[in-house]
Amino acid sequence: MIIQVKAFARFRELFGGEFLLTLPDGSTTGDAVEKIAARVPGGKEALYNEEGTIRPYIIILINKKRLSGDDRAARSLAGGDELALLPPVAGG
Amino acid sequence: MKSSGMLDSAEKERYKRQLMLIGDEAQSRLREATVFIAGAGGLGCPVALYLAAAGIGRIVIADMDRVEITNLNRQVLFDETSIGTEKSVAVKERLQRLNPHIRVEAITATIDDSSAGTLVGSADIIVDATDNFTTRYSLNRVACRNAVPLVHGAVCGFDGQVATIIPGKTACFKCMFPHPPPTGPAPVIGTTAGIIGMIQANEVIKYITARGSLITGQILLWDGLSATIEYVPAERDPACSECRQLR
Repeated sequence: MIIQVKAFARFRELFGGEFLLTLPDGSTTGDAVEKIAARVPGGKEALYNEEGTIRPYIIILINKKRLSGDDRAARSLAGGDELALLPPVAGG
Repeated sequence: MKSSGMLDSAEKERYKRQLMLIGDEAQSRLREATVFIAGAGGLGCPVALYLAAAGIGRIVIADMDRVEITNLNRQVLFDETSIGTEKSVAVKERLQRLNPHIRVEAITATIDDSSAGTLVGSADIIVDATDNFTTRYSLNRVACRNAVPLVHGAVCGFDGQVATIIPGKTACFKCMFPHPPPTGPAPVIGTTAGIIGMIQANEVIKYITARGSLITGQILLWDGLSATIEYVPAERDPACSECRQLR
């Protein structure tokens, strides 16, 4: 299946603003994030903490609906889904 | 926010071009309002400047820092003669020269859980122009406790975000951002802070004059490199530690 990925702020510069991702059927958000992390050098550090979990401050949305808890990595994906990754900014 | 008292002739002249738009009643509301601005930096400067020009009657601005040369690429209320001056004091002096009809109070203090409630006082609305999530969580706590709106803004590079929080009605800051991103000096171009500060000031004016719709239940994302705005939804978290008991 193919999903659409949308990256915001710092992630847009790192991974590209919008791109398509091909995944095996039955993949989850965790699988997609892992594949995105492997696209560019520094991708893994940007998306995962030292324990190997997706950094908790990153906002993950599927079809504009925010994921929380276990869903952040375990949500099943379907072809045509839009996955958005947003790292909040903090400066002022 | 009361709207007592007529505008005098000097005020009518000063605000002529916006009175055509919002009318005397809304202008009086701006005059009767108190806005607390947390931070007198890249966001706080444009927010304070435009709210003072618009005629917000009482502006309370708090910041713990003094002006440094590295601030001048974005903190547009300061100049080389301000270096070494307390930021809140420099802002106050500048705003009083711009608009003597309003009252500006400068506070040089750290905003944290122990001070935020006292500093915010009875403000009608809080503007988050800070540069870290710890302070933002403190402001959100006070906003929830006082049931006053909080207008959040943040910037990094060419990117920025804005969200208006109406405690008990919309997602609060903690619902939106349950986990803080890492802090540190963020790279920023002055125009990003200017644009985000403008959107925040615009939210304040809309709220006080009850016009238009606010950026609630969503986060506005500004991408300066493509000059685009997008919104991502932000729903209330029924288990939120800060606002779950609010209706």
